[in-house]
Amino acid sequence: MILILLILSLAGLMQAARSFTTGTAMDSVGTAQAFGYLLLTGFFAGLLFKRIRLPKLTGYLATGIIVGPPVLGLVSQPSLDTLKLVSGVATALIALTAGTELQLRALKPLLRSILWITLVAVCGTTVLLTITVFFARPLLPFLAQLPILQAAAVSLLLGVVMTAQSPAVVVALRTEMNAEGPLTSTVLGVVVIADLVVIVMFAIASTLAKAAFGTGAGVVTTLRVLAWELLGSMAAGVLIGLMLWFYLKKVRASSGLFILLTCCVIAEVGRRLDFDPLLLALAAGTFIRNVTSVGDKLHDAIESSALPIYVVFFAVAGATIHLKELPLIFVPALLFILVRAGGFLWGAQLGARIAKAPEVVRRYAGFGLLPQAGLALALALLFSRTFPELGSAASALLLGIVALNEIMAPAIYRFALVRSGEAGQGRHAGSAGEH
Amino acid sequence: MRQRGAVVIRTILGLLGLLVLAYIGGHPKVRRIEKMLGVSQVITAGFPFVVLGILTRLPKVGILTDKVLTDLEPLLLLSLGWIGFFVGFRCDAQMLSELPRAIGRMIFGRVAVVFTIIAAASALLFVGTALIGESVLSMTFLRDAIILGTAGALTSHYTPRLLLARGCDETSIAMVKRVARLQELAGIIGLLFVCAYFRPQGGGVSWQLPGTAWLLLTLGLGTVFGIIIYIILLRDPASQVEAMLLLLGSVAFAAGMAATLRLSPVVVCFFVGLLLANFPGDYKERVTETLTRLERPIYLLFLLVVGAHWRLQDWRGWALLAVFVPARFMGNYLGTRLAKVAAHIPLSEAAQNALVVSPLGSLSIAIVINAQLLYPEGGTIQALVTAIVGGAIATEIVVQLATRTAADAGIPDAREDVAPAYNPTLDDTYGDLPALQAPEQEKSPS
Repeated sequence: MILILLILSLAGLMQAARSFTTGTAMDSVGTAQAFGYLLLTGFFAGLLFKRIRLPKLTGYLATGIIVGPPVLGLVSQPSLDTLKLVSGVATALIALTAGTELQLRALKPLLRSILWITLVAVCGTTVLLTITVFFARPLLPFLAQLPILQAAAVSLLLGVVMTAQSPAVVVALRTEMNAEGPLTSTVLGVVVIADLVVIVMFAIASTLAKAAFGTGAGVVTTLRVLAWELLGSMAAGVLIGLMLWFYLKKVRASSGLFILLTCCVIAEVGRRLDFDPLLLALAAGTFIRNVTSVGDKLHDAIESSALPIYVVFFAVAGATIHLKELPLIFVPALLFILVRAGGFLWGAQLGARIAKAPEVVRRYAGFGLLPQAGLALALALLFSRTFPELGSAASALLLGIVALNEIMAPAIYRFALVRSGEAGQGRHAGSAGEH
Repeated sequence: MRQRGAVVIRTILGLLGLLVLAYIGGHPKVRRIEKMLGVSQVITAGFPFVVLGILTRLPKVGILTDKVLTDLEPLLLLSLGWIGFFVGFRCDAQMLSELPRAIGRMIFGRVAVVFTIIAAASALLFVGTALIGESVLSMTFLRDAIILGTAGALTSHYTPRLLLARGCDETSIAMVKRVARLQELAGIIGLLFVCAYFRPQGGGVSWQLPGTAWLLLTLGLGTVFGIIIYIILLRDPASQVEAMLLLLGSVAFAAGMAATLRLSPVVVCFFVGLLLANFPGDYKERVTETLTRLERPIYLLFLLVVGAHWRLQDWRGWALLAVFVPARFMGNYLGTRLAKVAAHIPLSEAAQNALVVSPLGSLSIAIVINAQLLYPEGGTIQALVTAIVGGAIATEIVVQLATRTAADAGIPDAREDVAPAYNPTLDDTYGDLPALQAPEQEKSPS
């Protein structure tokens, strides 16, 4: 009851502040207030969701959806735009954490499962979604008018974007549930590798689609861009990893501040340089975990202070969901969500069976592939920028699918972690769900 | 492509530079050299971060661009709120009730003299050089004089360390500590007055109220937030990181709300801190722990952004600085002597000298940066920033020289004698940091 009263009081204060300004003033000044408000309300909503056995993360997302511009409008769009700096830092932090989780030696026994699940579930679902989109053209006005070749190319591109998963949600739920075991490790490995696969597939599909529309760049240019994004990000990640190692080993003082500043640089400068910040931070974390001896230090430094950034990140992600587009594309979006879920669940089962993975992986790995967030949103926006001629409907479709998956999938994966028995088995056993 | 290459090189060089600086800064040999040169307190007080802010703001470096600075403005507000909260949380009623009655007269006298001398010296400078295009009787001048006088009249919490360096008695040290703390209260009142009666003009503000109403609104807002945050903090968090989240969110929300209403985040959060320090509850230890843990990162980032906002090319600021620092010392000297005579407070000679050369604290910087945010239209605010931030660095150096002179005269070094007696409590941390940092510094070379 007190939690609800607190949430209402905070909302009342936000509403009072909104009545003070005439609209233009709620920019960067309102951002600090929005940051504090999302942090507190998201946290309290997370506690409420935990009581009804849903992930706290869904509570953070729900907070963003309800208080964001489409519903209550307590947090303005300019404030959300400014808070994207926090989102960038959070993405880098999450990827850094995911990297430190990837102990290659420990993953070796699971490598076969990871590769087979990636191949069958991720690549298989991409093909399945591409075919579904192609044959569902009558439901999609922006595709129905296109010639076969162009429609096929766009279908492939849409299939790739819809396949994208979310290492951020997987890592956050792993931390929240304090989960540990073959299922958790396999899913983490798959979503990280799938992230790479999706980025590469998107670049290839995008090139093909541009060629089909007669607006493509040359093959050499495309390869150069792709190499820069992938290899450049990884090389930069190793460099950042070296710097972090040196700092954690030799300087030590204020390591949290240094890590935060590094993530800020990864997010801001990485974006300006066309690097993939996720890949870059992931490479840095993996390097530190597998090549140096300060992996635990880095992991602990992030874990002891990252919660506020995660809460704001997911609340902002929720606030940027385009709810008003949902009714327009609901039927095809639902169809693709079902196909995607089916592809992942059966694909993961098949992949795990081929790889002779443990029973728990066979049964539940597919659920971990369902969540979508940052990467899918970024690819959806990139898609709409690259092909403006397809109109806002295509963009709305993709954003709608991401929105629905973003809302529902974390709860499903949480359920799978509980059923698998891996929840609460982590390093801090006994404190499951406390973070 | 060439442009991208340049950004890559600049970024790598910047990060490597930061790394090398951090390594060198933490090296025992370097600390020994710093101590020998007498600049360790200036370094420990975080002023290199101001320099870092200035450098990263340079167009050729291009890291803290206009866009990034706008994105970082919430951080600035959070830092201001944090500083205000910190000052408020240190003021518990017990401390105030234990004070001798005459100390109020003493502080009032000292602050009044320092304030008057700084304001008079600044007015003379303005009139003599036509530094601002307005009359000294204008509201803008009055506002800026109050800001400068208020910020200049404050004494850093570092001041008791000076007394330790001089081997002073405990009564004087305790007295100086209280003087410094109560002067902070005077600083908060000054800022409250400015924000209420010199309202920023322009669009985006739909409430039109008289000054006294704004004053009451500030107090009311602080109280409302105090009560809400009190209820929030009464919840027992599951972990330290949750406690940190609650405090961070509370201060950011209160500071942001204050800024949205064009009030001072420092003042509103001060009242929040004041209430929380005096309400019953077992959360205080938790809050203290979180404040102590986060104060340095937040303060250093604050200084970084302050450096980036500092307009060094504004010559008026340097002219004002040249007048401000001596005027402050003169004011401190006269104010302390007069106040001692008028209030009959038992202050030793060393204690009086420490109060005279006391450096500017972080609250002074927070006051002027808060004013810069409230009145972005320009005027002389930029000059005030130079005077206060530059003054803080200058007074820190003067203090260091004074401490060295005392040490040369054979008085035992504070860090050797007294460091173990210092507890890293709210009395000693944040902004006026050396007290907390000193024991740690001295252990490492051995």
